[in-house]
This record gives sequence, structure tokens and C-alpha cells, in this order.
Amino acid sequence: MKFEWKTKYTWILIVVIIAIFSLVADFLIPISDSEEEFWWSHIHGFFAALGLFGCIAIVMIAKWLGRYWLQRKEDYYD
Amino acid sequence: MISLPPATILFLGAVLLPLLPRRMRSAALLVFPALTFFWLIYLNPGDNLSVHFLDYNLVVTRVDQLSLCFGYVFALITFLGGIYSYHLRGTAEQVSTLLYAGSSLGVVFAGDLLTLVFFWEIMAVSSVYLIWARGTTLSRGAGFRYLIVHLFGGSMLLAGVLVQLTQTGSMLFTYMDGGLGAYLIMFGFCLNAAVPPLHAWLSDAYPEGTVTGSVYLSAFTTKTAVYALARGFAGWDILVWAGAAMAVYGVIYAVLENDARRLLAYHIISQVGYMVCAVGIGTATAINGATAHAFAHILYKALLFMGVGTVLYATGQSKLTNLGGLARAMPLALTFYMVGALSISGFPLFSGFVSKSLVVHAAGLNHMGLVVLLLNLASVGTFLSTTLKLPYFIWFGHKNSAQPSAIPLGMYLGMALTAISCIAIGVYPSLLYNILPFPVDYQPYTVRHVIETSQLLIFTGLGFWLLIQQMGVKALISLDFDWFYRKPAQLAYKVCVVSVSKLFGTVEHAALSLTRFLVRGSANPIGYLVRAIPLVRQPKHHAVATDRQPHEYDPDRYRFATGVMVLLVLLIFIIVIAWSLFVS
Repeated sequence: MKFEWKTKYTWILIVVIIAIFSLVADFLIPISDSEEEFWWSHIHGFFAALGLFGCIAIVMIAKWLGRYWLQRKEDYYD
Repeated sequence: MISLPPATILFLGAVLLPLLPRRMRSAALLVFPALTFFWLIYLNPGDNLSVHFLDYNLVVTRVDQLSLCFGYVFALITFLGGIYSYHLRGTAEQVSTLLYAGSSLGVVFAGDLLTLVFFWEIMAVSSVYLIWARGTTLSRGAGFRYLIVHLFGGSMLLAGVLVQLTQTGSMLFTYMDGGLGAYLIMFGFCLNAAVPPLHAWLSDAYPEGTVTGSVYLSAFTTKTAVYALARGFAGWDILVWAGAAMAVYGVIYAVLENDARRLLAYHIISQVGYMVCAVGIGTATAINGATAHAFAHILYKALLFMGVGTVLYATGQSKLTNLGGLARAMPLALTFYMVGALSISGFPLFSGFVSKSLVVHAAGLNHMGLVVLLLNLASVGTFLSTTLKLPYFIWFGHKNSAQPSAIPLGMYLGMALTAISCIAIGVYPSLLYNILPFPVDYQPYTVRHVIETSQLLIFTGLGFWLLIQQMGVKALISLDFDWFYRKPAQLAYKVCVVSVSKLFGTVEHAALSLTRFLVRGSANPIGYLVRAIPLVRQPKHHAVATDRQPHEYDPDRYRFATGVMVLLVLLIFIIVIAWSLFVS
């Protein structure tokens, strides 16, 4: 099925708004949670970076492992 | 009466179910779990039942908040699964479902190790039928491997229990602080919790189960193991790292996976990783986290298997390369699946958010920075594979699947109720927090936590969008630790079965040829020698002698001879009896 363009853009718009909102709010809201403090606690947008680069890293590592080591034809065990 | 093991009702159900009229058997899959649930509600922490057995004091029922929490969710998911599988007409599958659920309850309420092992083994044997009931060649093989691996794990567990008994003299199942017995017991538990490298049975067998069977499989075996680890091995450091590693391990494999249900199976490994990690941390918050995550996980993972199972039911396909474009034909399945997917990803307002964050919070309180990062990374991978990749390729994508067949109403109803419970826990976390083993002093819905989670997940989505060309799946399988017993098994089969039978065939052939030669040679040595010389050979004569047609079967041919034989035997029998009675 193809999305109707209107619906697709509505969804993209919602996601973009949340993304911008979460980034802006990150800078505005002070870090108060003193119980759990790590080196990244004071880096704004750290979790956005973790999401983006973590995702790219997982896909790249998995694909690399798959291509050169793990993946076999479906009848491998027959 | 009330302190009987809560498994009793489900076992009773398993016995009664085949005696019911065929149309009522599906209802039994609802009635008995519902009764069990109400029984559990009336149980209180401290209700124990001990019996004496062979000089040992067995605690067959031990109730505390930890076992109750697992008990509630086991009864709940058996009921919800019962609705989902209401259309099912296989009595054996229904009976093994009740036995499986009952023995899982037996494990979580077992107060001593012998009772635990007893229910543990029933669990392995009853669950394998849910795989075999699919009836395919693949499921038969996977079921056998599943059974062998679990019987091996069960033997290790039993060995550990016996060693523990001789070392400490106690059968009680409590915290264990080392020794050979404890290590063997932990091996058995870790095998069922699918801790790598002991995990390959899970990703091998669960995708081969029946549509409804895999829903139950995803719920019980690994979670009873998490319970057992939490009871016996809370605070063992090795579990922290084993758990964090398996959370990432499952995620990496899921990226490569083509079979939708195997992808979900790898995410069971990943999610159980959170629980094992929390058990390893071992603080009150961490045990709360492990229990809460197990509770939430059982519901959303069952929902995911239900959603993909619906697609398998309707199209006969579960491979992403064979599916696509189902959004218009199966919108409800997509909606319910997405509730499960957002729950497993820990999206705010869904159940995973309130349970997973409790685990991460426990790691944070213990200042385990690396563990927190690894668990967050596993969240990224979970969102990537279950919420973006799988739905994209099944319900959207470019390929168009064949027109799906109609779905029974019960399947939709089961999914709807499970989805509602996922959202209910996400919206009212206190529903779950109030039944946890320890008081909860944690608020998941802080502004900062919601912001961080939104960032993490939305930017994962951005990564998926950028890499969508890379995400395309191929019709391949990935090697895993089952290689170590599947490949040698082929070799062993060749050496022990194929070559032996070939050798036997060769020897048999040689012996028969020799016999033929001797028979012909000794019957007419001169003639045989003459025939052996090609120049004077008379092939026609030879052919007539050997080409005797087998006669047709005639029942009267041996009737008389057989009758005489039987008569003789009877006569001799009577003579012998008479001899022994009257003469000697």
C-alpha cells in the first residue's frame, strides 16, 4: 500500500515537531537529578546523538558481521 | 485447601479438558486460567504448604510477593492467549498449553528445589508439543533440538540440586552463595533464560511453533528462569554483564533476521537481558525492575507474537521477503502490533517505558555507566527492528502479499485486550508498581526522562530513514550457537547412521552373492562350470530356472496347516498343564 501523501506528511510533521520540541526542551530544563550522574549528564542532546549514531552503528556492525561471517543460504543445515 | 500449589487448577483442567464436548474445550482454556487468577488473588504472602517426602521437608507452595507477581501475569497471559486461540480445535495442543502454564506456575510457587525440578521438567516436555503441533519438517527438527537442549539443562539443574543437597543438607530454594551445586543450578537457570551462549534453542524453536503456541512459548520458559535467578542469584556480578551483553546480542541478530517471528525471538533474548542484568545488580530497586519488566514483557511480547501470528495465519508467510503492503488488508493487526512494538521500545505511555526505566534507574543508582549505555543502545536496536523495520516490511514496503484470508474474531479480541493491558500499565504505572516485591520509590514520568526517551527513539527513526536502503532484508539465515550442535549432528548422522547402513548393505550384498554362488555351484558343479564358460553358455535355460513368478496370495493355502499347528500347540499345552497339576 502507498500512503496517501497527506497522511504521510502529517506523520512526518508530528515526528519533526516532537524532535524539535525534545531538543529545545533539553536546553531549557535544568538537570536536577543528582542521584544518577554520569559524564554525559551535562551534554545537551546526548540521547539524540546516541539514538542516531547508535542506530547507524548497530546496522553497520550487524550488516558487516552478516556479510563476512554469519549469513548463509537458507538450506545451509539441510 | 487454599495452600495447594496454584498449578493444581490448571493441571486439573488439563485432565478434564479431553473429557469435555469438543465445542467446550476452547472455553476450558478461559475458565481454568480465570479460576487460577482468582485463586491467586486470595493467596497471601506467607501461605505455605509443606509435606514430608522420603525424610525431606518439601515446601510445595511458598507464597511471597515475588512469586505472586509472576503468578498473576502467568494466569493473565494464559487467559488472554486462550481468547486468542479460541478458534483452535487441537485437543492435544490445548492440553499441553494448560500443562505448560500450570508447570510454570508450579515453578514460581515451589519452595524447595526438588519441587522446582519436578515442574521444570514438565515445562520442557509439555511446551515441546506447541512446536511439534505445527506439523512441518522444520518444526519437528526444531522441537527435537529444543527438547534435547532442555533435558540437558534439566539434568544439569538436577545434578546441581543433588550436589547442593549433599553440601548443605537443605532442599529449600533460597539465595545461594556459591559452590559447585550453585554453579550447576545457575547453568540450568541460565540455559532457560537464554543467556548466550546457551540461548540458541530459543531463536531456533520459537519461530517454528504454531501460531498460538509461540504466544505461550514467548511468555513462560524464559520468565520462570528470570524468577528463579532473582530468587537464587540476586546480586551475582556475572549476571550484570551477561545481561547487558545479551541485551545487545539479540538486537544485532534481529537486524539481520528475515523471519518475522525469529526477529521477535531475538528480541526476547534482548529483553530478558534487561531482567538478567537487573537480577545481577540485585538491589531492591533492581529486583523490582526485573519483576516489572518480566510482567510488562510477557504482555507486549505475547501481543507482538499475536500480531505477527495473525499475518502468518492469514497469509501462511512469516518471512519479510515474502510479505509487504498488508496495511490496507490488515489494519487492525497493524494497530495492535504497533501497541506491542511501542511498548517493547519503551515509548512513553506504553508499558515498556515504566518497566524498562526501572531497570536502567537501578543501574544508574549503582553508578554503572557502561551498563546504562548498553541498555540504552539495546533500546535503540529494539525500536529499530520491532517498531520500524518489521512493520515497514510486512505492512508497507513495496512488495504486495497475496490476499490474506479471514481472521477469527477471537484473535482480534485477544490482541485488543492484551493491547489494552499494555497501555493501562503505561498510563497507570501504579497498577504494576503496587504488586512488586518491594515498595517502589520511583517516578518514570519526569520531564527529563520523557525528553531523553523521545530524543533517543526519534533520532533512531532518523537513522532508520537514512539507512533504509541498507535495511533491506535478504532470504538468508544467520549462524548462531546452534551451529555447534547442528553441524556436528549432521556429521554424526553420516558417521553413525549413513555409513553404518551402507556398510551393512555392502556386507549383506556380498553374503547373498556368495550364497547364490555356493547354492548354484553345489547343486550342479559341472553344469555351473560349463555355463560359466561364455562360449557354451545357454542363457535361456538359466533365465527360466531363476525367473519363477511369485504365486498370488490365497488365504486357504495355509489354512489347514495353520489349524493343525494351533491344535498341536494347544494339545501340548493341555498335556503340560495336566502333567504339572496331577502328576508332579
